[in-house]
Amino acid sequence: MSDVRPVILLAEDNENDVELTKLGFQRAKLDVDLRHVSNGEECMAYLAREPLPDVLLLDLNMPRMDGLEVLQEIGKDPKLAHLVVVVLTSSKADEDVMRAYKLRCSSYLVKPINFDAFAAMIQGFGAYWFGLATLPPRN
Amino acid sequence: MDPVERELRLYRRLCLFVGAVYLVWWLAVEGLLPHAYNPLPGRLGVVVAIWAITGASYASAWVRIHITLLWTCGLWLLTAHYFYLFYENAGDINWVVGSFITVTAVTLGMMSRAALLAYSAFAAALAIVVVVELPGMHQSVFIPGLLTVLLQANLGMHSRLAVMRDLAVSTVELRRINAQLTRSNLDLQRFAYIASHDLQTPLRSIASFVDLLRSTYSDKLDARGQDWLARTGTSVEHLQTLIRDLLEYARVDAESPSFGPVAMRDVFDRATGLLDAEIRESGATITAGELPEVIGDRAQLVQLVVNLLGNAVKYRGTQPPKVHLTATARDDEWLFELRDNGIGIAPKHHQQVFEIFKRLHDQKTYPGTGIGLAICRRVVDRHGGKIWVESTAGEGSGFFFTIARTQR
Repeated sequence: MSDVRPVILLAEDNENDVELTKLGFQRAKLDVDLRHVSNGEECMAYLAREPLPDVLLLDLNMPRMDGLEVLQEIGKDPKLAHLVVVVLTSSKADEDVMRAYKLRCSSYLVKPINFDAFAAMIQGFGAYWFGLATLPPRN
Repeated sequence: MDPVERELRLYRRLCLFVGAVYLVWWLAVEGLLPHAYNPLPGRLGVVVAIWAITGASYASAWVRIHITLLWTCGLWLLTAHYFYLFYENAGDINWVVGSFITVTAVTLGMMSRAALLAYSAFAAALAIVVVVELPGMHQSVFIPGLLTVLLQANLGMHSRLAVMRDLAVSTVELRRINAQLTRSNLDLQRFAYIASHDLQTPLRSIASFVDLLRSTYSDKLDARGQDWLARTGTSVEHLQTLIRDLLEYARVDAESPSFGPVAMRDVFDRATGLLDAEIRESGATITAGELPEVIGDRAQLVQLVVNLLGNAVKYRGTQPPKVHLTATARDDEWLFELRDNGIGIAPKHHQQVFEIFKRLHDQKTYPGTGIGLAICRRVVDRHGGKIWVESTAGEGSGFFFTIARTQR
C-alpha cells in the first residue's frame, strides 16, 4: 500500500529548529513524512536519489552549502527544476527574500518568534500546499 | 581633488613642460643658429635636473612638501644665471631671452603675491641694470642687489610654503583618520547587524521551548514553577525586542539611504496610518501645518516621524494627547517641530534621551527599549540635519529636527 502522506524534506542545520519544526507539524495536526538533512551537500545528495520529496523546506543559513546555493543547483538540474522549494528561514531581509525568489523558490516563509505563531504558520503552509495547491506528480 | 594634490600635479606638469621647452629651444638653436653658443651638457643638465625633481616628487614626501621651495629656488637660480649670461655673454641673447621668457611666464601663476612682487621687482631691476649698464657694470654690484631681493621673495615664499606644508600634513592626517573611522564604523555596523541576526536563532529556540513548556507541562508545575516560567517567557520577549530594535538601528546605519523627492505630508500621513491603533486607543489628536517636499529617504523619514509621533502619544499625561507638526523654511534647511502635551522631559535629560537604550522610565510605566530616539538621531544625521528637544517636566515637549535642503 503506497504511503499517501506528503513527504517533506527539511534542510536545516540547527537541531532545535528541526525539533521545533517537527513539533510544529504535530501541533498543526499535519500527518507528514518529515525527513531531515543538515546541510546543502546532504540535501543535494538526498535529491540525487529517487524518489523526490513533495516539498523541500529549505533553511538559508547552513554550513558547507547554504540554501541559496541549493536553490541554484536545483534550478540548473532538469531532473529537479520542478521541485517545490519553500524557504523557511529567520531572515526577513529584503536582499535574502529577493535572491531566493530570483532563484525561483516557490515560496518564502519567515519563522515567527514564538511557537504558537510558528505552528499557525505550519498549519497555513499545510493547508495551502496539501489542500489548495496541486503538487507536481510523483513519478 | 584636494588643493594640495591639484597644485602638485600642476608643478609636475610645469616641470615637464619647462624641461621640454628647454630641450626644444636647444634643438631649435642648434638647427637654426649653427654658430651660436649652444653647449649640450649645461643645457641638458638643466633639463635633466628639472625632470629629476619631477620624478623625485613621486618618490619622496620631502620633495612633495617642499615643491614650491624647490621650484622657486630653481627659478631664482635660473634667473640669476641668465642675467649673468646676459652680462657675460651678450651673444647668448637668444638663450637668455627665450628661456627666460618661458620660465617667467610659466612661473607667474605659481608664487604668492609677495613673492611674485619681489620677483617682478628683482627681474625688472636686473634687466634695467644689465641692459643700461652693460659693459661697465661691475659684478660685485650685482650680488648685494640680488641678495636683498632674494630675501624679500623668500619671506613671501615661506609664508606660502608653511601654509602648504601644514595643509599637506593635515590633509594627509585627516584622510588617514577618516579612512580609519570609516573602516571601524563599517565594522561596527556589520557587527551589530550580524550579532543581532545570529542572536535571533538561539533566542527563538528558548522562546519556543518556553512556550511549549507552558502549553504542555504547566499543569505539572506548582504555582512557583509556573511563575518562574512566566518570568522567563517575558524576559525572552524583552530580549527579542531589544535585539529587533538593535537590528533596526544597525540597519538604518548600514543601509545607504536612497535620496529622492519626498513629500513630508505623505510621510506624516503614512506615520499616522501606522500608529492608527495607538492613536485611537489614546484618543489622540494629531495635526500638522503645511509640510514641504524635501530631498530624503522616504522609508527613513517615515521611521523618524513614526518614532517621534509614537513617543508623543505614548508618553502622555492625564489628558488625551494633542500633537502638532510644523515646518519652517530656513536658508539651507527645513526646520520641523513636533509639539505635544505629554509628560515632558527635564532639561538634564535632554541629551540622554537620544542615546541607545537609555530610558527614563521602567517597563511597567511606559514600555519601550530606548532605541526610538537614537534611530531618529541617526536618520536626521543621514539627512544632514540636527535633532534636539525643548521641554520641561510636566509641560509637554517640542522635538525639533532639521533636514538639509541639498543632500550629498
